[in-house]
Parts: sequence; C-alpha cells; structure tokens
Amino acid sequence: MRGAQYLVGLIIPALFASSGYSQQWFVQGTRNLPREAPRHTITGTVYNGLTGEPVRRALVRMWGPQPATVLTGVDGRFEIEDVPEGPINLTATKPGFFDAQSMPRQWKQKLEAQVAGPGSNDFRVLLYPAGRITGQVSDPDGDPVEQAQVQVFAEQITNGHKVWQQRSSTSSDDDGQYRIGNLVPGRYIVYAMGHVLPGLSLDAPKQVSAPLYYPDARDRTSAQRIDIQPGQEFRADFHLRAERGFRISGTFTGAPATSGVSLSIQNENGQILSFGNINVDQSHGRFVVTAVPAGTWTVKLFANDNTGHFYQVRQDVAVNGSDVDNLPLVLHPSVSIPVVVNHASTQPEPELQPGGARRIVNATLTAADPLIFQQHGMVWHPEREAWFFDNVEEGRYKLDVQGWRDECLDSASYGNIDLLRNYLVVSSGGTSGPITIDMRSDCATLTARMAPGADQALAFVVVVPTSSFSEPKVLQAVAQGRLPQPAGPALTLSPGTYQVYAFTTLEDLEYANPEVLREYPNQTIDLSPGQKLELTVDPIEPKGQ
Amino acid sequence: MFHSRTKLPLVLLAAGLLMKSQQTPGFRIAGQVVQHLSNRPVKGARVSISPLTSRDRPISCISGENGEFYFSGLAAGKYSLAVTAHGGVQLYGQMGQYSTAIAVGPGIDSEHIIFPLRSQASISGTVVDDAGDPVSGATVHLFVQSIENGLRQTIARSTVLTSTDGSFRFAHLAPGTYYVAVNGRPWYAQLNALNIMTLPNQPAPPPAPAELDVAYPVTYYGNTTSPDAATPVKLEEGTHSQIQIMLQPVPAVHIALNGIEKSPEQQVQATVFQRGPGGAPISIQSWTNNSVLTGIAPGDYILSTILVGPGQPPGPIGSQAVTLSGNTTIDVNEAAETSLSGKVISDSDIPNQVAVALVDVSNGNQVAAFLGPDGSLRAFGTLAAGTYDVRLANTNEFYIQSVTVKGGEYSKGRLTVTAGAHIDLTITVARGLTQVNGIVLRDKKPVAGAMVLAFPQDFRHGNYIPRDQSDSDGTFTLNFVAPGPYTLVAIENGDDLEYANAAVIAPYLKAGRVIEAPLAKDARVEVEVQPRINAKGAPQ
Repeated sequence: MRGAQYLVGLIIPALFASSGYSQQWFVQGTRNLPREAPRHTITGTVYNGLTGEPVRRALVRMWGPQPATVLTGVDGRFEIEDVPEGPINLTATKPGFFDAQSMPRQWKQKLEAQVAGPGSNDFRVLLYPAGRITGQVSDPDGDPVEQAQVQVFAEQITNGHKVWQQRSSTSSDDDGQYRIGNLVPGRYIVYAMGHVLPGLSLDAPKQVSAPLYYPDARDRTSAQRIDIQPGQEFRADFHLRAERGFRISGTFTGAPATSGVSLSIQNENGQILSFGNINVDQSHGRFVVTAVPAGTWTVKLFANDNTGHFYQVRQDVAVNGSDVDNLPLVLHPSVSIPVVVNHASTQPEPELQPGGARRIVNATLTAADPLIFQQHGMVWHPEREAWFFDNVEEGRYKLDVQGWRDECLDSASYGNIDLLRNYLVVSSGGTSGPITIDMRSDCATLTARMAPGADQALAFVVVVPTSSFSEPKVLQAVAQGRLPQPAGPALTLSPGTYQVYAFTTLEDLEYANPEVLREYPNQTIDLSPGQKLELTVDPIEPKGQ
Repeated sequence: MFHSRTKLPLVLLAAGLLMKSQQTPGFRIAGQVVQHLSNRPVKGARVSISPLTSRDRPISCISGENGEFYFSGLAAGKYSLAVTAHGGVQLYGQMGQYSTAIAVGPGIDSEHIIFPLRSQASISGTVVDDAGDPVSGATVHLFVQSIENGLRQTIARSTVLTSTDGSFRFAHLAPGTYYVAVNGRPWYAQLNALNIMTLPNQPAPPPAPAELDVAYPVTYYGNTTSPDAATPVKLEEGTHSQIQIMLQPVPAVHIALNGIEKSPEQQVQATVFQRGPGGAPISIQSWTNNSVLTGIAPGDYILSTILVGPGQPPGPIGSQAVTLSGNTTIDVNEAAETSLSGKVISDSDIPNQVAVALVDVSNGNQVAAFLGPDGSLRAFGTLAAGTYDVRLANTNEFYIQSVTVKGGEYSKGRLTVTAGAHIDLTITVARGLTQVNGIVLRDKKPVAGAMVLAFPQDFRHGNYIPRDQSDSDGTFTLNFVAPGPYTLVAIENGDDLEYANAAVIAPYLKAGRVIEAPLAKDARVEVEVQPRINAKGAPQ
C-alpha cells in the first residue's frame, strides 16, 4: 500500500504536465547538469493552509534535477542542501492532509515559480487538512446497526460532465458507528447500502432496509449535497426504516451453455440492490431475487460466452406491494454495429496499421442511459475487413467522431437518422445497416490568443457546436507576446456555427452542460470550409460551485 | 452437546416443523432471558431454537417484557437454544464449542429455563507514532488465552486494520485474557529505490536518508517489543477497554539474501514471521528487491524464501530462524528445509478425504498432510520446529493404531520436530471409532452442563481426549472414541480447566469411571459428577 502511494506522487506531476491544465513549472530530471551550476541551500516551512500553523513531520519532496526528500521538524521547517541553481518544485504530503494541487479550485494557491537561486531561498508549502464524514446507523427501534455498509460519492467533473464517483466505503461497528476519513474538500453524498433485516422465519415476508441516501432520500437527486471544507467533520446519521421486501422471480432462456449468468438489479435513482439475496439457477433457467423494496427496478441478466460475445436482457419491473413472479426473460446477443467510414476524396489512402486496420478516425459511442456505464470504441475485424462497435447493449447512445490530420466530420447517419442530432437507439431486435461516417477535408482551423493585458499564461476556450449535440471541444489560448510560438495548438473543426467561451480555468466547471454555459458570455463564430481563424479571447473566472 | 463453530444457528426457519407438530400434542420450551450478573430480565432479545438433527432451520421469537420466551408444538428430541443480543450469539450453557442442549419429551421439564445472557466485552484503541500522529493502515493482532484441547494456549483471535484516525476496535469478546500487537509501517518511510519507478537509462535514485529509512518493530500493548513483556488486557463481562499503543521508529535492516542460484528473470521473495505471545506467529510485511530484504526492524524472525519466475510455480528455498540487524548477509542455503513425508497404512480402503493433521501444542496451528492414491502423505504448508499432536482429520470412522517416525521423536502421542528435520511418518489406521453415550448424575439426579471427558489410559491412539457437555437431561455423547480403556470424568464448572495437563486432571481421575470402548450397543454409562477443585484441592 505504501509503495503505491509513492508512485502516485511521481505520476501526478507528469499528468499535470501533459494535460495542459496547469503550468509546466517544474523539470523532471534527466538532463545532465553542468558541474559549474552553483549550489544553494533551500529552506522553507510547511503550513496548514486552514489554520496557518506550521505542520510538523510533513514529508517534503523536491522535484528537480536532483530530487530530495526530507521531513519537517517540530517547527514545520525543512532544509535541503546542495541544490543546483534552477527551477525546483516543492510538494508536501502527510496523512490526513492534501497538498494545494489536490484541492478544489478555490483553495489552490497562485502558482509561483519556485527557483533555487542566489539570495533568499525560503519557501512556503501549504497543506490542507482532510475532511471526515462520520455517523451512526440505527434501526427503527433506535438500536445501533452493526455491519451497515455506507458509501460516499464525490462530485467530479470529467471532460465537462458532472459525475458522482464512489470515493470510499466502510461498514459500521458494533455501536453502529462508521467513519470515513481522508476526504479532499469537495461535494459529497452519503449512501447507506441497505440490508435484509433478520426475520423470525424463512417463509415469513422479508423486511428490508432499503438503500438510502443521506438524510432520507430514495434517489440520488434528492440526496443532500454535503460540502466538506478542509478539516471539517460532518455528521451523517442514518435512521433506517424497515419495510416489506418482495420477491421478483422468473425464468430465462438464451444464455450460452458455456458461461455463467449474472443478475443485477438497480434503478435510475442510483440504488443498487446488493444484499446477497440474488439466486440464479442456470441449469433450470430460473432466477429469484428476494427482499426487494417497493419501487421500479431494472433487472438485468448478463452472460459472456468467453469468446468475446455478450448476451443480455433488461426488464423494468414495478414492485407495488406484492411479489412479481414468472417473469419470462430471453437473453439475446449483444449487437455488433458495422461502421462505414468514407474519407474525403482528396485524402491519400491511409497506411495499413499492424493488424490490418486503417485507423484514422476516432469514433466513440457513449451511453446516454444512466444505467449503462459504457463507452465503445470502434474495433477492426480483420476477418471481415471492417470496423464495428461490438457488444453494444440496448439503449440510447451518442456518437462522437474525431478526425485525424486534416479530416473533420461531415455527417454521420444510421439509415436516415442523423446521428449528429439524434441518439442512436439500439434495440434487441438487432440492427439494420451500418453507421455511415462521412469525413471531409475542407476543415476549418481555430487558434486562440488572449486579449492584451491578460495576466495569465494560459486560458481555455470551450467550443460548442450550435447545431449538433457533439461534445464540446477545448482549445488552449496563449497570451500575446509570450514565448516563440505564435499561438497554442490548433483545433480542427468541421465548417459550421459554434458558440465560443473562454475561461481562466476549466476546473470544477461543468462545461458539457448547456445550462451551465448559458450563464456565461460567448461569441458566435461561423466557420467556412478551409477557413483559418485566430480568435482573441478575454477569459473569465468561472463562478464557484 | 458439541457443535461446530461454523454452524451457529441463526436466522432462518422451518415452518414445516411447527406444522408437523400440530398433529402431535407437542411439547414446549419456555423460560426467561436474564442478564447474567444482575439477573435483570432482558426484553427484546432474539431467542432461537433448532433441533439438533437439522440445525440450519431454527425458529425464533423475541423475549417479552419480563424476558420470557416460549416455543410450543415441538416434537420430542434435543434442541439447541441460542440468544442473539447486540450482535452476539450465545448458546445455552456455552463453553467454547460446547453447550447444553435442551431435551424435550414426556416427563422432562423444559419449561423453566433461565438463560443468563452474558454481556460482551470489547477492546478499542488507537495506534500513534512517536510524534503523536495517528498510524493508519497498521495491522492490529488480537490474541486470547484459551483452553484448546485441554491445554492452555495463546491463540490468534482476529486482526483488524487501523482506520485513518489510527483507531481500531475488537467487539463481541468473551471475558478472558487478551494480548494486542501492532505491525505497522511509518508512512514516511522510504524503501531504498523500491518506491520509485526506475526508467531505463536513468540513474538509480540516491538511497533514502537515514531519517526515512526506518521501520516499526512489532509492538505490544504496554509499548514493548517483547511478547513476553506484553501487558495483558483482562476483560470481564461488559468491560469496554480503551488502550493506546505507540510505535517508535528504528533504522530498517538491509539483508542481502545470498547463495540463491537463480536466472535473471527469477526473483527471490521472502516471507517473514515473528513469534507472538505463546508462540503464535505474526506475519510481518516486508520488501525484497534485488535479493535485498528491507523495510523491517531488527529482531528475531522466521524467514522463508521462495523463488518465483514467469511460467513456473514458486519453489521454496528454505526457512530458518534468524536474528536480523543492520546491513548483513544471510546465506539462504543454511536454511533448513523441514520436510514431512510418509504414508498411511490400513487393512481397509481409506477414503480420499481422510487427512493427517499435525497440531502445534503451543498455539494450535495445524499443518495438514493429504493422502495420495497410494496412501503417501503430501504436506501442505511449512512445518516449523515444535511439538505436535498427530491426528486424523475428515473422518469419523478411522483411528490411529500406531505411529512410527524417522527423523523425529514420537512419544506419548506427540511428535517433536527440530529445524531442518526430514520427518517420515508411518501411520497405521483402522476403522473403529465409536460413540460413548451416557448420563451425568449426582445422587441419581441428572446434572446438566457438566464437562465430560474420556481420558485414554495410554497414548497409543494419539493424544485426543474425547469431550462433551451434558445436556438438560444429563445425557451426553462422546464422539470419535477409539477402542481401548478410558477413565470417564464429569466435572461441574469445567470452564477454563487445563484438563490435558496431567497434574491438573490427576485429582479428578481418581473418582472417574473406567470403561472399555467400544461399549455394547445401546449401553449408557453413568458418571457421577465431581465439583471443580481449586488449587488447594478443595471444591470451589
């Protein structure tokens, strides 16, 4: 466990460097130093960013041509000798704390370049105390519940999409107490997974405590959003209620004989039933789920025949006060959708890649339904010499296409359905016909530069197509007159109309949500074929959460 | 009544049981649940019974305002009776794996049962380092003194990890004497070059500075690193003990493991153990890189090395007791590989699942050896030096007739193994295990809850002492009894009696009942109960 922690310490700076989301202001040391580089002693103090007090026994790492690691003393101070002159990067760690880089935007210190040079080399490094969520789980009689499973989800923004990601999970002790520590400040929801309550009789109706979001919500949207500040302990007690649990049972066919069949039961509210009360009898094609609370649930059966083919079925079941029996389910093979890519006629024949693919278009299908957590990429089938999206479950999907080199997307369709403005609906009946992707080569390119007087080195431009629901694209804008390059990397876009927004940072900004972007000023640009446009932007600070 | 720990009756029911008994007059089990020491009634406790013949189908009820409970319409027979309160399950008259079953039938009183519910105890604590900071993710080991097979042993009970605030908790503990040990690692410790990915063509990072090249020795409650000096935690019913253990960093060792012939793609892995209280082993987390063992504190260890390589199963190199300190070298070839081989012979066919178990008398650890088709033994696990009882496992028919040993000493049913020994066992077995049924009496009246023991007169069949606990009608059943003479003894309040200790049991043997197994069919032995005698020889 400890080993992995250090690996993370090394990788995070590398990720920051390549993501472009922060300044490259440290150097990872592979270059050889001239012997004549003067050496300095650097000193510094690690401070608690919340209280301002020094942090004793924090581990300070200096990244640079000659890395070093030291502990701070009782006064929070550290000293590193024999440091070659030049840029350095100091980070601190300590269990129960987070460094500035891991914190949400409003806590990040302004990134100053740290350089070891002649003169005073005394630095400040900030650590922020972690937060905690603790509480007690009690049953309807007020008695403590032992071994109640509690999970914590953190709100995170990935590629502009707000998602809830499970951060931690624990179970309550014999006093019903649970504790989840080491939480980075941010927004959380707490979820008690629920369980079957012991009954007096095997045949008696089951009592269950249904999965619950704090404080008392059955669905995720009603869960209380808890904003954890540094060092804060939030108390989240659960008072479980008992309710009748019902049975869902039935038969299934269509599963390949060679594989195991698994059953999951969940709903769109984010409740997953995992009491261990699921029984699948494959030899007789029967399944039974007991202790299901009232509500609407999606039962999914899944099988994998171990040659890469998936089989599945999903069925919504309304449980309204009585058992639901004799549900007949038929598994069917997941769908493979062929993809035909037509390149612009002016493009040279793409080279053969190993395996026979000519991958020059990056197309992905992303599930639009909350219960399908999948993203499909195209797979080349050499035996059929064609591209496919394999094993696509029934549901709705959004297609996203990225061109390569000088190509951009012209249109994408499925039969006569325009996939740039409509979801692809995959049903169990199979698919008729391929997805057709037409590319064009008369693309526009966009670069961006900040208006004069901007005091940032970098800003972020979000480009949203007006007439399709493709994912927004991000472009970096550089300041005027900085460095030799004229502008940041260029973005290749299909001709068309776009809304353009500029921000000082994309952190904590849900930029893939049109409702969120609506609050910010934007420019409309109209790109014609072959146009090369250099935008001037005035980035603004996104509002806090 | 004896029951296996793995089959504690809990939450399911047979309604069929009730339905069937509606055709018969039906018997009742009734009584009251009270708090053990105060005798106050306990309401709202879950009371469960299940017939001994089908223990996975219990029926439950909840005790009433005065702690009362009853079950009616029952068929005659014996039932286990359990109460669940605050997450802990207790059986009626429970002593370890034994308890008193309730006999139900004509002429038997099963309606005035007082069930004393014992309060459970717990040990909570925090682990901190020398700077007072919590130590998270450390392994906390709980040991308990108990009587196992009649010998006082300290055995490992459970382990938990400390949470982010350094805290841990062991709950649902019975009264007894416990020991707590912590195996942790300083969060800031750097293992030389192990934690950093070395990219090709990059120089290896410099060795960690001394203040970071540290480890924690295994530390016991009482803040000592010696298991013999550990402070015990003595728990009574309802004691909730709070302790703190502080870990002090010491320089880590760097031990070069030499003498291993290996190819470049093979790697040496070391597993390190330390002997805890009573000799119970504690597994120690360590790191081996390029055949250098590090990340642990100086001390005495048992070091085992294995060689792993791609595409092959790990090959053991050896195991040895070592004292590690500083930067030294260990020659792995000096490791004595203790091995076990042998065969099992019989006149009858031996079923596949019959196995041989060597049980360490100091801590109850078992080394199992399975039978090949030709009766040869294949041991599973490393055999360390020590003294072992030789037993058969997975059989209720076969018993050991004789044992001959090469490479070790076998006497009075016990095998002594020295480090580096190659033990060859020849075990002759035969069918013939039987049951001995009987009743415990005092002045001709049945006595419930007495500990019943059958002492073999000699050790030719091994060191096993059949045991049971008399049920509510005084009856008992001893299982796995090999043929031969025995002295039967019934002791009241036998809890915590070290009955395999010859000096302890001698006074009781004098008043015991001598039998010769196997008994006649349907025979029932009468054994007069004896009171527990204290150290001075007077009844308690």
